[in-house]
Amino acid sequence: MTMAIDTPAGPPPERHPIGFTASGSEYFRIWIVNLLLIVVTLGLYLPWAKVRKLQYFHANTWVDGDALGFHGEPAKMLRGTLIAAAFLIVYSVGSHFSGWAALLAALAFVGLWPALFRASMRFRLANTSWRGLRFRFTGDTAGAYGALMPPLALALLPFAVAGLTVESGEGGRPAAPSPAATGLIGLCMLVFFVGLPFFLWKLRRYQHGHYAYGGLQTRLDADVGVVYGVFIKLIGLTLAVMVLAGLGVGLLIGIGAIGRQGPGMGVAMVATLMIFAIGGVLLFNILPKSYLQVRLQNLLWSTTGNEVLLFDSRLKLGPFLRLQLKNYLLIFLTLGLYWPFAVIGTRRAQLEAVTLETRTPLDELTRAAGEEDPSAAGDMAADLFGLDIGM
Amino acid sequence: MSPVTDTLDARYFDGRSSRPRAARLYLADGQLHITPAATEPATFEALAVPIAQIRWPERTRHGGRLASLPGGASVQALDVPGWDDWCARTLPGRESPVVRAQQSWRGVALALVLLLAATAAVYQWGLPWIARGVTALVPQQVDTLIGAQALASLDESMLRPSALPADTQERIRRAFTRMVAGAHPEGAPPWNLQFRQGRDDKLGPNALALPGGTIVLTDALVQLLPGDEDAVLGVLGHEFGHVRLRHTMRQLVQASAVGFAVSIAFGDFGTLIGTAPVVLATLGYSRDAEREADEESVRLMRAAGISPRVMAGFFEAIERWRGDQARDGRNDSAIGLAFATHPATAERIAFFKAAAE
Repeated sequence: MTMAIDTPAGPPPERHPIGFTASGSEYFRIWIVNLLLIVVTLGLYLPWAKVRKLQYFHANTWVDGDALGFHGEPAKMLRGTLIAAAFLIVYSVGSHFSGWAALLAALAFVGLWPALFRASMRFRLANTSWRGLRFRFTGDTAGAYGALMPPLALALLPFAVAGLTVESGEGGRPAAPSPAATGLIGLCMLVFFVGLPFFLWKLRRYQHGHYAYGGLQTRLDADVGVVYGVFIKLIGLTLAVMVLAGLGVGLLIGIGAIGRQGPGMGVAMVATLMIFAIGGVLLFNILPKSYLQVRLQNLLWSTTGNEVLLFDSRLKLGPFLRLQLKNYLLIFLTLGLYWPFAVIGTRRAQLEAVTLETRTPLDELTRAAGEEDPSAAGDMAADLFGLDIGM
Repeated sequence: MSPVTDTLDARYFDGRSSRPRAARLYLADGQLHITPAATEPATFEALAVPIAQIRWPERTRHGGRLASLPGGASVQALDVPGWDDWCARTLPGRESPVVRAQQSWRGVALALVLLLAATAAVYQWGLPWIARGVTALVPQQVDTLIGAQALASLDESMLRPSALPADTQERIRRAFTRMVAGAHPEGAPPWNLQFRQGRDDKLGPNALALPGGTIVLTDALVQLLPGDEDAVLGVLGHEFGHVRLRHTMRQLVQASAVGFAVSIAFGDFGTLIGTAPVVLATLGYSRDAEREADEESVRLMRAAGISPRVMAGFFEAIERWRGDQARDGRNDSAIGLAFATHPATAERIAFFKAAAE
């Protein structure tokens, strides 16, 4: 992995591997008790459960002998949860009403989500500490809108606009969308998918470019071309997998045609279907997802840093893929009970692949940190919409 | 109050720099006293913080210990087992039942049993109750709009106009109107009956209830039992049950609620894993809805003086039709779908026979 950050000549950097000491069985116990409390309180316990989980994960993430700390206050986060839930309900119900309401809901989403996202980043970072010092997120609102508004608008607005043209059909009976509306949707989707690596790169640059610890701020030096490279390879990989799967299906149909009259047909059919299901999940879900996760983590974290501090991520695809395959299988076989073990295993692989390199002894990284008052709304909003913050 | 001599060595961070300072902790007068460790020249001024203002870490088997003090300062453990022992000695009874439960496998097993029971209760009663409430809040126009869109898209993809003679259509429509009026003299929700036929054989004898009150009846269903229109009325009664109870809307609400709950439990892992419980739960609710619709069908048939026993004959005819389809090698998804979303045919036959007693 190349390091595009300019490195002044001097002593070799100190390397500090990141350690993760959480255990699956302990997280299982925390998870079960949390879930019980969430169910019996009909969801109101959610922020307390979340703080407990984050505190456990942070307290087990070690850099140079010191663990991270999480300081979020559940009562504040409950308010954020309620705000975010209200927003989500209004949005999802609103988009089912008339075309105008759907357009309004989409506009509100596009208009508010970047601000919520930024608030969420600020909240998370401001409540994370290492060696007694809080992190900060220094990204501004304009940056959040610049990074998030174009993809959101491309993904949401065409459908809302097309919905309007559908509603204006004759006699209360909806007409099919006009060719112009269909064309608009098609064009926007095309721009969205072609631009996806660029939008992702912009978002990550906004995030990784505004992490701060004391007076130190990081920046992301990854090139947008490299992100496109990862996506192009992903498409190639998917195509290869499709050809392979097609060949496999053809072979099995051939065998099936020969053995059609056999008495054990039913059993063979079920077994074949099972193999298809597992193979399909592996090839079309786990493989591309793991590939993307591994390549993007290595690319983005290895180019994050500044003059005195630099991350280096070397997550290996093979072991990560095997881990994910094992996770999915065991989650399936245990009807979900393996889930906390899978989360811990994945997090360990991701974190322990990262090393922090510093040119100044870590002990000297002391500066005054400005106190900010983060809003709790964003953090929970990020969770509700399933947006990964990817720390 | 514990003796002042019970001290703990830890590190103190003032919140303004990342420099750790060796500190000695002890409790006195309801306060945590943080003093510079005696062995070196004082690196900070001793301070005391009321215990109630401190956010203590929870005891876990793994991980560090960090107590947050007001104003961003913190105290961190040098030696985790030593920290836990000291807390147990000097702050007895402070540990929450939650921490005790999650640190014992017996507590976790109990929590798991209670969780399963609570989830089952929420699934059985809580969610349907909430879904009914939420559905009642959604204006009827929304159903109408969705239903109109659904019919338009069905007309484009799967359906074509009916070939039934106009007088047959009119006869069925009249009989059904009388039946609904008989069962609901106080007034019934609006409905409208549409005759259609499938574009191919796949749809077969079928009836659909769309949100907003549109009921679609296929020609094949009317022709399934020639001369026996009572069974057709029974089927229409079943679909009317879906309309009256706004099942489609309710299931939309229930499916979103289940999806939301699953995303909380299995938050940051693959979407694939999250879909299975949603699908299973939705199928379960769908079978419940079919049972409710069957009950409505019986109520309507009774009001019209039709014996629910005709439905037993109808289901047997449907089974025969399915058998013919399978023999002709046309057994495809249609049967699997009906199998999963509807209760077993034998159960439904038994239900209608019992209702006829």
